[in-house]
Amino acid sequence: MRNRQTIFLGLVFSLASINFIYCVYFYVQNKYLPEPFFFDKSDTFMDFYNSLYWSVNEGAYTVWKSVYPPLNFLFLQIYQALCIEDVDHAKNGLDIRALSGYSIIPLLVLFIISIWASIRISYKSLLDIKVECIFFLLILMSPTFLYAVDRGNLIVFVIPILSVYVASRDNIYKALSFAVMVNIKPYLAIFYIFEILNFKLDKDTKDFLILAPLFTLIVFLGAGIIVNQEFYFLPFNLLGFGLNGGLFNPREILGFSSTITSFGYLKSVITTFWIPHGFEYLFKLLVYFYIVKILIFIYKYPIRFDDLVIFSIIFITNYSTSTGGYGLLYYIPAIGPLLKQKNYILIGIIIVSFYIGIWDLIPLYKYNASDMNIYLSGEVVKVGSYISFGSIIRPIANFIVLVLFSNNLKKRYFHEYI
Amino acid sequence: MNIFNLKLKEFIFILIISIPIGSFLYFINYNKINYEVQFRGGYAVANNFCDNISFQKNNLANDSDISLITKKYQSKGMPINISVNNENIYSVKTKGNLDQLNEMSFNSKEILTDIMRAEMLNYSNFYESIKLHCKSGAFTLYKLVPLDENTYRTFESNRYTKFHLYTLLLLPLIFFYLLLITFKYIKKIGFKK
Repeated sequence: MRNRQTIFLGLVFSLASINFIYCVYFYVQNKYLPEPFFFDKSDTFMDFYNSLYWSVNEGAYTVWKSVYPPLNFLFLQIYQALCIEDVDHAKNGLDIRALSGYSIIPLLVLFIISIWASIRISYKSLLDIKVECIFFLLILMSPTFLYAVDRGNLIVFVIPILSVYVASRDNIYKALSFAVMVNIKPYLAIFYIFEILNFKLDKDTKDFLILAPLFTLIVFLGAGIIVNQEFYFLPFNLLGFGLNGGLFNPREILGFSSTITSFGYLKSVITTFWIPHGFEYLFKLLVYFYIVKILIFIYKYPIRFDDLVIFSIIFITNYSTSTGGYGLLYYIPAIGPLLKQKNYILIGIIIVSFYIGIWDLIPLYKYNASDMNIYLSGEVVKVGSYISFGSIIRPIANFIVLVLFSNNLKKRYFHEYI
Repeated sequence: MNIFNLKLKEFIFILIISIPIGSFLYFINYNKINYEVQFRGGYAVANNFCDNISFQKNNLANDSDISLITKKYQSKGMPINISVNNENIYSVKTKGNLDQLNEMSFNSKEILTDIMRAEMLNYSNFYESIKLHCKSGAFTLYKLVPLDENTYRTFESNRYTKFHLYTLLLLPLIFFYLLLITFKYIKKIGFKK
């Protein structure tokens, strides 16, 4: 068994390495990063720099309509004070990036530390240190992590906190880690909603259900007071963000997605062949069908915390394109609980395959090449981007995870309750 | 036990802590203002030559001049942002307290003078000597229409709404209330060993 594990990990690591080396080679040759990196090559790190600009300027919630809770801006204010000299005369995030480009380096170091911390917390008792190191390198080379780095998205900081949330057996730590997570990415409140849906009348669950919102509010208000922005508009901004379907560029969504609902956008970018009307709803219906099926099961029968966490992650990555492809990083802490259960081995293998980028080397549909200003190389280059095999196979694999989880859940709990 | 209930002395305790913090937050923010001035920049113009052709060069002060002026005032500790739109309207935005209004007004007028100087200098360096020749051999020169001080307008606004200020006043009370009831609940359930 151990031998099989080593062969599997070795194979995955080799494939990930080939892809990583190819990406480096491609960049050296072409002066821009290949698929599945963000299609707008002039926008590198801008999730970070735009947020940083608004953390030191008024109007983050009223003008920019931010959907980031104040804890993000508090972190960015501290980061700016420690790592960036002067941003007062910057007119936008692009200005800050132009004036202090190297200021991104401490953030990248923090990202790497976050991944290592997450792996240590989640796998300390499951894997030996050598395997942990290989897994760590695999994640660092994965397109999922590199895409998050390319955007400079603070999602990476959620991963070690999610590991604490999953690994913690104490309700206080669990509630505290939940509060910090939700104050970085508000949609992670779904963990709490599913806990309520699966409400068990035991004392442990009750303690968590009381403490989690209290800690969340404390962190929210505390960070809000320090940041001194109109953070109480956040719920309205979130509502607006949720209702605004056309916020993202279809190429951006299709470039790196975790859900098959993104296939609906193929219609907007593919011009060479006809796609039937209603195509976009088909995938949504498929995803919603399985999600509703599991939700009904969760509502009817109490299930274990680990299963609830795994489902929450599956839900977040399958339900909507708004989470972004880097949402697949949430699976890092989930692989631990999956490895513990024999029924979920196949799901675990599929999830590990998310971190292999080799699929992105195969182009399926090429866009027209256009001149682009490349931030990383500082050159104007003709960029020929494409929809890769990875962009299609990754969401399908994630959907298969949803289907397998739905079937396994029924099998596992069927005998207990029926 | 209802976790949301507080004893009277607990309520007085959080009131004593939160009132100074809330008042501090209110008073450091209530007189903060945004101050903006707008004025029309100067331009170089060559009118009605070679059968009614006209050229107009706006934005005589270039980006490096604006950047230099911005840095000059930023080094004085004044947070300013100077921009110019396509219609040649300059906008100087700054922020500060109500009691800094005179200083902001004075500095904004100084900025206007600096921009005017930069425009005149650039005009004499780059446009004054340019001859625009017609096929007939006649030529014309760019004339300077200087920055119009009569278009100078000022705008002041409170940086924060009253709602925001009252929220700041109240937030510490809510924050400490939540902190206290959480602390009491944790004390009741204890940490798992």
